[in-house]
Amino acid sequence: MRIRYVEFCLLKNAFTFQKIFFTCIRESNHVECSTNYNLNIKYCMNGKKFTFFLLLFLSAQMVWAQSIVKGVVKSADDGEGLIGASVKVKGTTRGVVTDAEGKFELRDVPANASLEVSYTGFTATTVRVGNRSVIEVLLQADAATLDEVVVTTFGSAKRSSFTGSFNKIDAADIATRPISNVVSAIAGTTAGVTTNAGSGQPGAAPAIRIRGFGSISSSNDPLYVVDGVPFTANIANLNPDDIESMTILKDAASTALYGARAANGVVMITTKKGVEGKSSVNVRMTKGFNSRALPEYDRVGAAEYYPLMWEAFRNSQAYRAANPVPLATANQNASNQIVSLLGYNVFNVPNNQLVGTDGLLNPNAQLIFDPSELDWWAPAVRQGERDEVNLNFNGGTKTSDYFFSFSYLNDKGFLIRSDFERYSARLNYNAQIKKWLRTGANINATISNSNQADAGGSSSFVNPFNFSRNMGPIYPVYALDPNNPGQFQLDANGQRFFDYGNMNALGIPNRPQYGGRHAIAETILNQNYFRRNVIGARGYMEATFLKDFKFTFNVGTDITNRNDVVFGNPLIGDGAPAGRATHEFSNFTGFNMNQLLSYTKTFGNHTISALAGHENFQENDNFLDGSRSQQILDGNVELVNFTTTTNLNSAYNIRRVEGYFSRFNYDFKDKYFASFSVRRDGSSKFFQDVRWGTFYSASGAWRIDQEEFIKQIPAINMLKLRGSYGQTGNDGGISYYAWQPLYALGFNNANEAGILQSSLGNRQLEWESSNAFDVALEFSLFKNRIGGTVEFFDRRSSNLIFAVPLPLSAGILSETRNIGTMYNRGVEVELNLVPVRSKDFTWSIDLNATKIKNEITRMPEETPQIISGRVRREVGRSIYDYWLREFVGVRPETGEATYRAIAFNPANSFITETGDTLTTNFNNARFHYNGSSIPALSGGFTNTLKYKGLSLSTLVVYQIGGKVFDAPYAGLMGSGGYGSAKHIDRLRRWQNPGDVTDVPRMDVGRTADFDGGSDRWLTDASFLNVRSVTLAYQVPASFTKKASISNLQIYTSAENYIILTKRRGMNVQQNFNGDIDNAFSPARNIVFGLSFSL
Amino acid sequence: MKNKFLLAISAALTLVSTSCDENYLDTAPTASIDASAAFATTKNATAAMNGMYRALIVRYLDSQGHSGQPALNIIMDVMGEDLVFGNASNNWHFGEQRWIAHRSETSVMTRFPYQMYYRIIGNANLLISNIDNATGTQAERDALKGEALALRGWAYFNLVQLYGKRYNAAQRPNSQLGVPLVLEPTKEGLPRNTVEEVYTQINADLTEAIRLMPVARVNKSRINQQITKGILARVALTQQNWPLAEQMAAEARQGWNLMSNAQYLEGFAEINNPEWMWGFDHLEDQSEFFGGFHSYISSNYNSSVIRQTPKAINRLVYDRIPSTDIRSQMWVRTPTAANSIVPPGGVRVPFMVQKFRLPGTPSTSTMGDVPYMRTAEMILIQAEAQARQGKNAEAAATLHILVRARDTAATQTTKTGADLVEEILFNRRIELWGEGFRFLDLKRTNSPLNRNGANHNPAVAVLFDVPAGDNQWEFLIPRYEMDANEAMVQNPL
Repeated sequence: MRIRYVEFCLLKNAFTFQKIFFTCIRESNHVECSTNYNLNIKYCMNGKKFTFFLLLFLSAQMVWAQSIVKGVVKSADDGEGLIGASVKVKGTTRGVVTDAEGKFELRDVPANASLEVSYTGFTATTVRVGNRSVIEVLLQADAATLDEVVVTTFGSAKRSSFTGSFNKIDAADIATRPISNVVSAIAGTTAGVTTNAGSGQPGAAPAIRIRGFGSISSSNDPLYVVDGVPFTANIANLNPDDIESMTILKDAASTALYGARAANGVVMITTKKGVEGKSSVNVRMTKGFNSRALPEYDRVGAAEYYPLMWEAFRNSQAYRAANPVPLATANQNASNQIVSLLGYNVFNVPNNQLVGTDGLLNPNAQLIFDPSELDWWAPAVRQGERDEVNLNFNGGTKTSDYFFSFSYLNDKGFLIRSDFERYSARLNYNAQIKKWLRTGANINATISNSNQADAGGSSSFVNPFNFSRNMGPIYPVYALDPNNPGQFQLDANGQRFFDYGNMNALGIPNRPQYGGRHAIAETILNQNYFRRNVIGARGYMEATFLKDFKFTFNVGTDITNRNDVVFGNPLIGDGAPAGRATHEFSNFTGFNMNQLLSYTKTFGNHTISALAGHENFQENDNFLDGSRSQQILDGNVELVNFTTTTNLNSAYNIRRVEGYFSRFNYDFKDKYFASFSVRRDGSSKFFQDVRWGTFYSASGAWRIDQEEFIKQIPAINMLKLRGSYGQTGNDGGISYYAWQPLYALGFNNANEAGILQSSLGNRQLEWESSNAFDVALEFSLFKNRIGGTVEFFDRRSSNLIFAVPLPLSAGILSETRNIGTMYNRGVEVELNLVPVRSKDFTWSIDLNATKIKNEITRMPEETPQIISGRVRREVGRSIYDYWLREFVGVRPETGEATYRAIAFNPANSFITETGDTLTTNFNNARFHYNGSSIPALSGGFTNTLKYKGLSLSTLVVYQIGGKVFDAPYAGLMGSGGYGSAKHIDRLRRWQNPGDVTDVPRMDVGRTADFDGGSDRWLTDASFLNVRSVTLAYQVPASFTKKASISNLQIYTSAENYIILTKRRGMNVQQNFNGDIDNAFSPARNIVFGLSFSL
Repeated sequence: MKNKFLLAISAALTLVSTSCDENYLDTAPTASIDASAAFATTKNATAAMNGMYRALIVRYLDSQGHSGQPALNIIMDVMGEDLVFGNASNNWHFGEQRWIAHRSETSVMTRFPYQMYYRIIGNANLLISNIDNATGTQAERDALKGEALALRGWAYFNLVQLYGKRYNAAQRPNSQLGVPLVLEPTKEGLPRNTVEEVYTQINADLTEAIRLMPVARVNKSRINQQITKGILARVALTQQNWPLAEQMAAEARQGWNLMSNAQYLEGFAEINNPEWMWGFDHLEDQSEFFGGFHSYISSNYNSSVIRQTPKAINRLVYDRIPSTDIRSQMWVRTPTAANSIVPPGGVRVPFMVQKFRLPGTPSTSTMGDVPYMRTAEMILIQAEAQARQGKNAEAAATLHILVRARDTAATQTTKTGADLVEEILFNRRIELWGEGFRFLDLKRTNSPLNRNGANHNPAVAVLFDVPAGDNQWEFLIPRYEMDANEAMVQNPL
């Protein structure tokens, strides 16, 4: 069939364009066009597609040929069509994306054209069209994805030529995971990167550490850069579905251009963009459930509890140092008083017969009600629901592209009154305005509302994790009816009501544990929430000129407006009896501007590129908060509804950083690569004489696989050796005004103004710097079935900033100083294995493991050892080496906890047969080193099985070695505490002279000696966490086509599916320093999801 | 091409021209001021002076039960035998009553007074060192320096009583270890001075303060010359320097009255009471809420501590108070809803306290003022000092000034010698209950702790006897100081 049509061409003449019309006839796939235009034409630019082609004839009648090419892109492994592969006409910017079956169609393809076909995870290939009109392209899966683009500091690089160390997490790795905070996706995926567990509070993120711990008291957090500009809002404001990739830059060479903020690594986050030639609508919906991932510690029940506390009282009388009570009398006293001490008798025997004088529970005792009434966890937790909808529209033409997304998340935590609701929208628009000028804007807005659990204070009564954990197993949640044993009182509405523990007016006993407090009731009646509005904007202008030059101007801001409201109800808890509220309004604005001038030139085999730039960065932190008490009307928490102002405060803080930098890259034959960079940074945190620091890096890479002698080895697909050395800085985590000696305002005395010394300041305080060396071998073997990286790094941090504890007698607690030097040295291994790769079935395994040694190598002369908390820092030790009193065991004669003694003291010490001097006085117990919280090995492994459209992926995070200080366990092992819960290990206590055990006797009079914070509470921190499991099914295109949809995927996914630790309930991953407390423990999220495109 | 050259040039210029002016990286906080400004003028230095008083009323180590000097005042009585916890329900300060807390290096109790008093000393040292250059009149500079010296002397006096062994006038010089004398701003850890040296410094500071300070003052929450004399009276009493104690107490109370019986029943929460010589004037934006003084010791604040475990007086002491004495109404032997005030749901225990009470029941405010020094104490110091010197008649007369104000039916005591001293001490126990004296009185008089035979609950008190002079009378030096100060040595364990 012949089709006749008209086509035009844009004639380019100096700086003007002129339209020239052609008459075309198409027959089959052959087109002939002609025009009468008769001029000395060299180029014709075709409309918006910028197709260039040569006019062969200068005559009036012009004829040329072009074709329509159809084709399909398939995976070479299984022959399945690849959806969304990019097909471009070589030498042009024209291209299309394959459809759901991998098919594509390109018009106006010049004869002899070549097509460049690429797809993430596959080796890109170029095919000549020749005279074919139907082309099948087979792509090889590529584990190493050499041509992948790496987002780097102030630019990008090809993976193959990049000289730094990085890891990349793609949209596909994030897509199906039920994470509300994108940082969660990093855990376990990257060698050298450790993450902690994160709180179970919805929206919370885990902390991450890249290559160990670079700083003691400055920040250890990496720098987050979003679309080329450091991100200063909370990461929870990013919608994970908007993320195209996250690149974790680990070594100095790849981060050095961020100079003073790069010492802890940089996470480059790139958001999605529209793709040229394809408009699509993508939809993702999930529905899920949140529950508690860690079980509770094993605690004793009511029947075991009374005898334990009977002993605690009996022993406090019978074993007291002065005037001990005879044992028989003490036994009788304990039996008589045990119920009055504990308040409640939940058994059906008289109070003085509950525990006999033999210390045993009355064998006839029966619980008077269901044991579930004594469970303080049941009312505190729930099955939280999680709903998420993501919608995005995107598309692009030759000159512009757009991406617009909207998402809604409603994540309800497993603890009552904990949730996170987020609305987010993003518009990313890029335009090639002129041939030499490109510009774009990326704007996002996020509105979050979140109810926050009051789980902040480990020992605060309002914290349900502290409260429910430590509540003795004999206290009912609801108020009992004193007149009807086993029954509960009802209020006017016929409902049970909470027992606040101080309702003796109702005839029920007072509860000695947390009397007058009720974390469940308080959680329900109190409020603690924030509303957060974040606007982020990134804009750039990129001009190319003089052929090889490019000037880029980036500007970005993140504005966080936040309103925190905390309300304490007037009935019970911290707000009682009058009610109180605190409102805080804060504005946090980060502003960043940079100008970059770059030059790239290729001379034969040599390619050089140079960059010079300037960056200005500012953070403004402004808040106003006020508290009032005495609530007037119920139900209203606005401050106007209270009568008395108890606090009113405001402040405005500024931080500024100014930097100048330059980078030079050299590439010879795509085989040898070198890169050098330098940056000079000034920070407002330091005194003017020392605020400027210079940071630099040098790095190189050798593509061994490009050498002829390696090319001949078919087993080697890729082999690259690279190394880098560089210096970066750190000024995070310290006060904005760290160098300044200050007096704090607000210490008013009566009605007179008052100020008080708040910091000493330090004019010598300067940059913490990190000197990092890195060498790595990257490889891919046997048709990319085995790939990986083996890497060694040595990261030395010097001038460590530390709040050095001063003697209390100096009147101020600490001085911020540069104290010393330490290194983090380690080996990282990453392996990507594909044991099976067939048409229908693929099995791949990604493994990573990291071994880090952290050691302090220099300390200041005046303070060669610094003790802070549970660790002591000195040369030869790590940042987290425990320095604790040494628990030896329990003295069989007396059941006292014994420790190795500092000195013999006849009042509390004795010498063993082996000559050890031991003590029973905790203050005389000797300190010693006992391990560290840093594990011997940590990492993760991902196992992915794919069968046709079905895939199962499992990510397991592990740690071997290291120790934690299990403070909640220590709390549950207390030897006193009438009414406080006890761990089942307490049942192994010493009871009678001669008993051999490691658990001291119960004794409320000796709690300081028996329960003190010694190394007794250190526990092996090894763990295994099945962090993520996803089962997904890609519905075949043949089904979905009929419904006019594509890429239909249904899946189920879980986070924190299983956590295995040495002790049940122990949250080993809570902190890097090994501290555990009664924090909001991690959540298990299970979701069911559906995604498709239109 | 011209425009491209322009672009190139402007790009290069932008790079260079954004280098900002010199001061761009100089930033300053808005919620603090530079230390150099603190003593630039006497006005600013006055603010720095006031900050020290306020530092006595803030929470230490984030512990609600350890909110500054008022908490310590309660604890000093908790550690004695006269303050009884009604039951074991709420265990705040149980560690202190059991004498565990102050004997544990790592407990809040060993660290918080040490940290608080040295904070005052450190800030006072800054003022003393810098005040001479402050803009203002010489009189203003003298007044501030004197006030700082007085507060420093007071702080050392409190420190040495807690962390040192008792001062024994019969064993001069008292060479046992006291606390480090830090007299200038420093970051160094200094070794402990002897108890004798510390007392010498305290006397020097207070004497110089008296010389420099004016009689007038802005408000009762600050120290003036007369209050400093009161402090010196306490010091002299503790040093068994009876003549000085007598003289200073007399001078200190010059012009001060005793409150009326009606005022005695008002709840010890109002600094305007005529008998309060020095105290903390609690404004509504300065509250520590549940950490406040009355939140722990009043009869009617709606806190779990008060509701559950109201404080009571030692029965043996209470039984000696004549029923005509107004002070007998400060506690209730058999409390009922009719004869005692408690917060809603509050339990009632025998001999429970009514002395400290906030306005309104249930009280919704923690804004009770805190007494630091009252006329009654000065009378008692004067009387005791007289009695210890054998001036029996004068002592009895002095004591009677107080007793007849409290008990219109009372007649002047005819006791002499040790009996008279005991009578005076008995009056201290009932007059100053809850105001922070009992532990220190037992220590200075070298008495044992004896809780036997009273209404102490063995599950709460646990400890019933501590011999006089035992090591346990000394607080341990906090671990934080031991770790950060190489020159420090621990008290005997």
